[in-house]
Parts: sequence; structure tokens; C-alpha cells
Amino acid sequence: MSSLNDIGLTDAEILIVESSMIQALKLQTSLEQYDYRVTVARNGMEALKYLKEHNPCIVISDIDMPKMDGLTLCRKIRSLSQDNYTYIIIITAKGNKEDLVEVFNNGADDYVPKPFDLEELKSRIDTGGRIINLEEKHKKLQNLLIESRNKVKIVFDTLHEEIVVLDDQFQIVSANKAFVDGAATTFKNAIGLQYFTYVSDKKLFHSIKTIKKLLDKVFDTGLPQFFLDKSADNNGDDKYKQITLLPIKDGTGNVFQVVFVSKDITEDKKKTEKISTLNKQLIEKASQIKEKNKKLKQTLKRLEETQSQIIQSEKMASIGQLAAGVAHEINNPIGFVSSNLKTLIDYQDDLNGLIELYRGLITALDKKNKEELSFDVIDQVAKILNQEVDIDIEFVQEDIMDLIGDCREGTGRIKKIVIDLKDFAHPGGDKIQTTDINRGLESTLNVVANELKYKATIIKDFGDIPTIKAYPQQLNQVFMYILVNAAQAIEKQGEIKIKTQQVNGKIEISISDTGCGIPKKNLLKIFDPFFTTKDVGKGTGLGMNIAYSIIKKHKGTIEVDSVVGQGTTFTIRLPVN
Amino acid sequence: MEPPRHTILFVDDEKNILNSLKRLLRKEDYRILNALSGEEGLKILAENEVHLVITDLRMPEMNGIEFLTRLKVDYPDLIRIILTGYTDVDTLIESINKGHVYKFFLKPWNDDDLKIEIRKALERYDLIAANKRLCEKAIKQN
Repeated sequence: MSSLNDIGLTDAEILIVESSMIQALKLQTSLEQYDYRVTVARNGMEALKYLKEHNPCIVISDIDMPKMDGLTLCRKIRSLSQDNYTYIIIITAKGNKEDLVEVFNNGADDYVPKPFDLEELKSRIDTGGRIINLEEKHKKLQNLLIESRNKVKIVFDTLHEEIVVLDDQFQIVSANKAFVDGAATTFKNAIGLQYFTYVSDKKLFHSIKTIKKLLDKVFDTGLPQFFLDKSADNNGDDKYKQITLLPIKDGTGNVFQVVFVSKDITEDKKKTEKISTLNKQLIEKASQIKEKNKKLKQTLKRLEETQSQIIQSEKMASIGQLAAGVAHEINNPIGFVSSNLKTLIDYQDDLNGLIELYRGLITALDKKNKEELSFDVIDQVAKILNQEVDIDIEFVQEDIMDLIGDCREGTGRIKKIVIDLKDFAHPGGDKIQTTDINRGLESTLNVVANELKYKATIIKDFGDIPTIKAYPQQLNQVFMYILVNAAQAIEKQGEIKIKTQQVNGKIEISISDTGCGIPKKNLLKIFDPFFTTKDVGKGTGLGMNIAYSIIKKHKGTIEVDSVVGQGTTFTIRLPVN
Repeated sequence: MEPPRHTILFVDDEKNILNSLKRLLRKEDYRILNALSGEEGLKILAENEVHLVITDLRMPEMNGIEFLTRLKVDYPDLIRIILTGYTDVDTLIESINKGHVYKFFLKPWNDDDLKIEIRKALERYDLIAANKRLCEKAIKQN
């Protein structure tokens, strides 16, 4: 391994150019002692030929040679376009200054005088090696630089943006493919163009003055500038160009060049506007859908309410039919029982009259002298008087009347209940009539008496209220629901108070109970259809909802107040019409 | 001339009703006839001069409306009253319109009201009858 190999010059080769064979070989042998690779050429022409096919990095040449001398060889080597540098050492006998200058002027790197010293030659060879090394490094760096510059150039050239680099005179220093193609020119021709002249001629931008000012600003402030240029194309449609100006600073922070990036964003802008329009449409559609949803919800609510009312109507219709049939069945026997009882009283009256006469006779006979009467008459009178005492005739006579009176009262109550039932569930009762609320309440109380009587004491406070035009059966239905609920709210024993009065031109009916009360969270829901706190199958949850609709139909209001553990009050207000 | 005693026919499929009605009118001076069905009623009408008929609507076999319609045709002068426990409005309307009744009563009835209406109905019968006779007389005399 030679010293040249040591510094990294692998395959380093030395070419000796010497016409004297003996000297050439002598030199070759000496150098090969240092492990150099050495080749010999006898003259310049041979050397050149060798150089074209091989790559010796060091050439040691004599000057005086036939065919081509050493200095000519130097010149020729230098004019060869080679990848690698050839370090030329001239060995010459000439030693004066002019000769030396000539040696160097012809392109030699070094010279060694004849006779030469081997050691000195070696050190100059090594120096040459170092220089070649430097040269190699320099070339490598240069390649790297070119390679990286090419990479960047590739990137720049793929961009659609037109990019030019301007100096402070606004001349183009560099441009990318997009610009060059857009300008319909070549890279070489683009360099040095006065950019703004070009831009004005081609009418590239609309606000050229503004852009120029911004460019000055970049040079002055060192800050990037941005601008949206709006122009019109040949058809009169808008064209938008996004301009970005970026400073290139030197080591001291001064801006010496500016990168001018221009991008046609007309299409993008159109797309953005389209998206924006679509978005607006979407938002509007969304709000339309929201509206529709709202309406649907309302419709659904109304449908539910209607459904509940229909269910209730059907229920009531079937109850009505049942009630009509039952009423008829009851009416017949009540008819004759009632009438017969009246007849019975008349009969009894007659009998009582007769009995009084008989008793009168008996009394008279009893008073008479026993001697004036026959024996069996006295006997019979005695028997009769005894019988009168036994059966307690006075009591019986009086009690018969009371008894019949009680029976008549009983049948009277049955009649009333049947009438109330008929009133209550009359299928054809959907007509506005003059309605007496107090009477309606009485009638309803009769009908629900059984539900109430074991649980609650009824307190009635009926005020002096006018009659109103209303649907009496429906109002009675409302009263019924409230009363039944009130009774059910009372666990063991309680009170139900019913008060009617006229307040501010309205009829106010309040029904209060001392039941368990309604918790606040349920208060808002009690008028909702199907809301019930009862077990499944024990209540449809429709009653209050129907009540609410009925009161609304009458253009009235129904409110509920409640305290858990104390009781509930329903207040109905109806307008007087 | 003494007016003949008025005759009233009660028709009801329930015997108790007939009995109580008879008792009700005991103190009035009427001749009371009872029938348990429309058929029986027609038989009685064929054999007796009846001035007023009071009938129920809901009866087996021949119902009240049918009966009344027959009466309207066969005995036009006869005054017809309905006494029923049946409260179906449609049936009532039909019976009144088809049977052309003078009055109807619902069961259970008020004794006094019924007695008064019966009296009025018979007065009406008498008035109409008298009117007819007078008309005939007038025509004859012309």
C-alpha cells in the first residue's frame, strides 16, 4: 500500500513520461519501492494515448521528448475533459525563472529539477496526492450540491404554482417549469427577464402596482406578504390568483432575493363557493327537517290525544248501550213496585179508617154493661181487645205507613239512580243544553255513591250559580272522574268537599279530597293521555285527559293543586254564557 | 143520554205491570181490559169497544210498534199511548212516527201524571166522537 492509497486514493497510478528508457525504468523501480503503481510512456503521444484509456492521477514528465514535448503534453492534458484531475510534475534540467514560469503557465502543478532527489520527488508526489484528494472531495461536494439542487428543482417543477425568484431589481434569477411553460419560453431566456415588464405585457395580474409595492415591502421588512389578485379572463369571468412573496435572506439577515409564488385559484375558489352554497342549502334543509319534525311531533301528539278520546268514546258508547238495556230491565219492575206501593198506601188508609170504626165499636161495646150483651159478644170483645194488645195495633198501624214510606223512598232512589245512569251514558247526548251544574253534581254523586260511601264523607257547598249552555253528560263525566279518583286517593277514611260558586263572571267548581296527594313530578303529567299511577289493568289513564278535553271544549280551565300527604284540589272554571 | 163507560186496554208482557195499573185506576170509573201480548190485544179489540189503549214497546212475538201500526189502520179512532221502559231514542221516534201515538210515558211512571193524561185522552176521544156525530147530523140535515 502506497502513501497514496493511505490517503484514500485507491488504484492510484503514476505515469512516467520519459524518452530515455534507462532513466524511465530507473525511476519506475525506485517508485515501486514505495509501493506506487507506475507505468511508463516514452513520449507525449504515448502518454496521451494512455491517458485516454487509463486514469493515472499523477503524471511525471520530462520536457524534452520526441514527437511531443512535456509542456505540450501538459497543455493537451489540461484541455482533455476528464472526470479526474491529473497532477502533473515536470522534471526538467532548466532552472531559470522564465522557464519555471513557462512550466507553470502550461498547466503543470509542480516541477522537480534534474537531477532529482528521490525523497523530494516522493514528497511532491504525496503533495500531489493530497491535492487530488482535495479535488475529489470538491467534486463530490459539487455533485452533492448539484444533486440536491436537482431534487429541489424537480419538486419545484412539479408544482403548478408559477415560481420565480427575483432580485432587488425585480429581475428573474430563477424560475420553475410552470412559469417557464406558462411564459412559453425556455429557462435560459427567462433568466434575467425584467419581471414586471413581462407581467404588464402579458397582463398576468390586475393589481400590478399593489403587487410591486408588496414586493418592496418584503425587501424592506423581511416579512412574507400575501395578496389575492382578482382579474377577468377573456370571457369576462372572474379569475383569482393567490400571490405569496417570501424573502430569501443572506447571512446578515438582509433580503437579497424574493420568491414570487403565484397560484391560479379560480377553480378552487369556485369549488369553495360551491361548497359554501351547498353548506347553506344543507343547513336550510336541516332546519326544514327540524321544522317538519316539530310539526310531526305535534301531529303525533294530537293523534295520540284523538286516539285516547276515541277509545274513551267507544268505551262510553258500549257502556251506554249496556246502561240502556239495564235501565229498561230495571224500569219495568220499579214501575209496578212503585205504583203498587202508592196503591198500598191508599188501601192501608182505607183499612185504617175501617179499623178505627171497628175499634170504636169494640170500645163502645166494652163500655156497655155486661148484662146487656150476650155471652159470646162479651167473649169476642175480650178476644179482640187482647188481640189488639198482642199485636200492638197502634204501633202496627203507624209502622205500616212508615214501612211503606221507607219502601217508596227506596224505589225513589232506585228510580233516581236509573235516571242518572241514563243521563250519564246516554249515547245520543251530544247536544248543548241548558245545564244546572249543581244538579249535575248531585246526579253524579248519586251514581258514584257506592265508590265514595265507605271511604269519604261528602261535604257539599253548592252556591247560587246560574245555568250555562253546556254538554251536561260530559261535565258529569268530568265530575265523576275527579270524584272517583278522589275516593281512590283516600286510603282509609277522609273527606271530599265539593264547592260551587260564581267568581268573576265564571262558575268555579272545586273538588277537594284529603287523600294521599300527587307528587310534584306527576302534577304536570296527570292530564297526559295514558298516564296512570295505577297497576296494569286497573285504570286506563284516560280519565283526566278526557276531562281536560271536555273542559277545554267548554272553553273553561281545569287546574290541580296538591300536597303530598295532605290532599288534592281540582278547580274547574267555566265561562257563563 | 149517559155516556158509556170508557174502556181502556192495557197491553204489557209483564203481568205485574198490568196488575199495578189496574190498581192505580181502581177508583176511576173505567172498564179495564188487560192483554199480555199484541195478539191478545187484537183479539180483545175485536170483541170489545175500546176507547184507549196503553201499550209497552218491547214484547215478544209482536212488538209494540207493529201492534200500534195495525191499530192505526184497523181502529183509527182509538187513542194510542205508549208506556215503555225502553229508552232508545231512535226506537221511540220510530214508534211515534209510525204508530202515530198520542202520548208516550217512560217507566217508571208518575201515578198522578198518568191518571191525568188518561183522563185527558178520554176527553179527547169524546170530543172527537161528538164532533163526528155533529158533522154527520149536519150532513144529513143538508
